[in-house]
Amino acid sequence: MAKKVLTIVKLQVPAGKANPAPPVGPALGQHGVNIMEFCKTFNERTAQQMGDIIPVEITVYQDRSFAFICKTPPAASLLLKAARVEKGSGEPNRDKVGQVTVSQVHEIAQQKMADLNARDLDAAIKIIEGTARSMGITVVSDEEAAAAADEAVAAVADEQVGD
Amino acid sequence: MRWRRFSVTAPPQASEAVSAILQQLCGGLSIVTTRAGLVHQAYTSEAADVERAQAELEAGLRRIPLELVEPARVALEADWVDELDWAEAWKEHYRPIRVGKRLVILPSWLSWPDPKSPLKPRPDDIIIRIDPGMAFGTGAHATSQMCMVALENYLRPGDDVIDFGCGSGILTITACKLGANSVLAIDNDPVCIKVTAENVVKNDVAERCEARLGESPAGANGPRDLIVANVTGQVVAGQAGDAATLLKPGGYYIISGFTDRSDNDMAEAIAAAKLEIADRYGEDEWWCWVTAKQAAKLS
Repeated sequence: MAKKVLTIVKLQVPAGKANPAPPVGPALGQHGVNIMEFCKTFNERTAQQMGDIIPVEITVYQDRSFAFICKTPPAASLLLKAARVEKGSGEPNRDKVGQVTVSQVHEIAQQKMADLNARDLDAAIKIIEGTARSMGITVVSDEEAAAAADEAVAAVADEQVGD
Repeated sequence: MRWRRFSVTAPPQASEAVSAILQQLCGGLSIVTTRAGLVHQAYTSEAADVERAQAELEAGLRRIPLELVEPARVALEADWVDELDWAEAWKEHYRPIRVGKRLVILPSWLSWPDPKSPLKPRPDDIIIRIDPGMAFGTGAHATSQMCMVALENYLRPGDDVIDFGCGSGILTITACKLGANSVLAIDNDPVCIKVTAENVVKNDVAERCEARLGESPAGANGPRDLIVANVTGQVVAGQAGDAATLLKPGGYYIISGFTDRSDNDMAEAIAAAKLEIADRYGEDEWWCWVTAKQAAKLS
């Protein structure tokens, strides 16, 4: 069909849980998009990813029909997973909630590269590092992380010997 | 009930950080690209502790690292939005559409005549029931409407038809309701095939229709009286040869989905397929042409 784009709407919605309440309703309703059809289809497509936040890009055509594509989870979700923590810090400068390694940051930057609007991988890495810091997640070198892990293992072993 | 709407404008490099803060506070957000930057909007219900949420948001935005953005380039606005029945409110964008002399496009939730519409019913109205959704062809676009007018003017009762690029099935249903004997609806999008199959049932014409996944009308069997293709200029031009082969002498290839920019290429493709332009409709920048295969000459 002769599709011509009217607008593109970007949303971040929990997988399997889209409903007509904000932000979905106001964002799509103003363009006359069939909200229940979007919610139903989005929830079906993302049912296997429950617990994840899904960025979704909805293309609204001139006749108000629509199509959507789901993108990779936001950098914040990937950072929380990598740091194995549930939420970011309310006081990121003072209270650190976890850490990720430089390698993990590189991996996330590569994964998110297409969505980040960054000119190259270095710029994408900077965005991911900054996002981590704004959440109270420290970025450490792989060596530091390995040394910290060794120390933790040694501490546990010492405790067991002490017992 | 009301909702507090937070709108945070920030440059793209800070978008992930802004989104993370809003996501944690509000559990979802929308992002719109504007000249000033990306506008991130998230909502919290007035039943929640709105002042605390706003204070946390302001604090969070101040803590976005300088390496991502200078604080002055992040702007926060907050306003109140009244609760709406969003599941229903989008339907207000739709009213019945009259196309040609007899065709009326009507979403399932509207009755005919519609008290909110200035359109008046006529005794021979043909109602096409289509709900907007994930398949193109709600009836609101000029190309769909011009194809419907062309079908009204050129389809003959008893015709065997192909609707290539069927989308929602709006042209398939129109053809059936105008008296087609059979319609083969083809699209390369499985969503469109599913939606067409549902819509022909809703319009009580399923027994004369077949919806089939495909890239071209070429696989269809038997000669056809009429082929309608509302796709793109490139596709309708590319399929002109196959369409001409499939048409009976005197049959029509009705094409749309192309603009002023491609009408020269289209004219060449139509001539190369030995079809003749019988009629043209134009609206906005869009064209719909009725092209015809020469009737066989009696010797």
